[in-house]
Amino acid sequence: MSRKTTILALVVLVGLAGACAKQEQTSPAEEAWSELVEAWNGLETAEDKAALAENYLAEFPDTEHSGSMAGMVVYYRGHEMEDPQGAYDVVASIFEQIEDPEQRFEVGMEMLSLADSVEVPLELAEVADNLAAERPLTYGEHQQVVEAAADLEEWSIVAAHAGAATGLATPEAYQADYPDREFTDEDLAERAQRREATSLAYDGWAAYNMGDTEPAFARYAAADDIGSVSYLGVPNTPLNTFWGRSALGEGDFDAAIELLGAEAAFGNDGSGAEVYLREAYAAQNGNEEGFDEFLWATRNELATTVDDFTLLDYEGNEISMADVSTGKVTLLAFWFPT
Amino acid sequence: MELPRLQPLYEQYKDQGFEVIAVEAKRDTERAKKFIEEKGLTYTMLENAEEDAEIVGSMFKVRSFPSSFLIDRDGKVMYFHLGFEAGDEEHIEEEIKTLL
Repeated sequence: MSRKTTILALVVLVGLAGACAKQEQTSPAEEAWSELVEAWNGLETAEDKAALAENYLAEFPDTEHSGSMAGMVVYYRGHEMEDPQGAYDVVASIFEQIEDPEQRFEVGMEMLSLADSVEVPLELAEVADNLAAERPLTYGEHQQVVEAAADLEEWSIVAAHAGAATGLATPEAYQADYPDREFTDEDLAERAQRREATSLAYDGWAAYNMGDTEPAFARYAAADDIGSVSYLGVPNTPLNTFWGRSALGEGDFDAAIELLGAEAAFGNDGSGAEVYLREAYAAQNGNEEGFDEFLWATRNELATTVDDFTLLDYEGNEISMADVSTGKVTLLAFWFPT
Repeated sequence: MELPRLQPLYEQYKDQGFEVIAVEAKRDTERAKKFIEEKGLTYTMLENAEEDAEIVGSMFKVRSFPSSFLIDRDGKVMYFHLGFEAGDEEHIEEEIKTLL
């Protein structure tokens, strides 16, 4: 989960860069920030990027960029350079200097994201409560707490924040989070549904881990009723992973295999669904023999056939997917330049 | 997958029937063209259509980038990939080889 958060953080950084480049330079911190943004695009290595972010944090620990810079340090030093302790030490050294509750929250969450490899004395509940004392948390902030708490297996925190997040999973709240963007009603409804299904899935998973089996399965069923699915026709939330793992825990191997199979088949993962699917498969069949063939068959059975589409290339020619890919193996990649 | 990492895969497997189609989601045409030229990308590059005809969000429901779908010779979507971690290309190469 922290990986996905990092991807978003990178996009946010670029967004900030665009906004800041147009502003008048008003303070040394902002001036240094403009220089950082300019230098950033020329950097190739994780070492250089980590160093740039660390220098900025050391000089200007308490700015509106503290959270995103801490994110860069965690990503580049912590993950890419595989030095989580070093990343933690850098961020922890400036944490106490941050006064703004929103930045404290962001930086604190970055520190906690390292908790699986580093000793983090910070209490997640404290980080969340500190911001909540200032103003109500947004959906996104509740969800950040939920994901961190699930990683830390702090189930009562997961339950509390997932419950609050479910209440905020409305089209109106989604629009309020992105005041400058225009959405169709349909689009807003779909995004709100995805949020609601996600929060319900986590709420169910917390309940299951606290021994409340029946309420857990009721929440999974409620999340399933919302019907939030990806292009592949499988939930675009962690529902199947949590539901499947709960079914596995109850010894319902058929259900576990069906739920985890849909999740693991296309590799749209990070959830570890395949590990638990393998476990369920072995439990049902007595051993793991034939698992790879089974996974392959599941994939074939569930696979969507892609619809053709036509778009323009950069010379203005109309190109259809079928023109390029009929009879071929095709990687269809969606991107945007940064 | 980051686009430049796909270029060597494309060059290595295109003769065996492998194609790459990259759809730029935000119609940031000038920056896209500059990027494509700078990185020397030679596979199929398309621009998302505008508004109602756009396919990235409405047809493929893609919300996060970079997102990739791997499609087999019969047009079935067999693999999905989100993000750009180092080492991803090795995993995706395994999937491509399985389908070829």
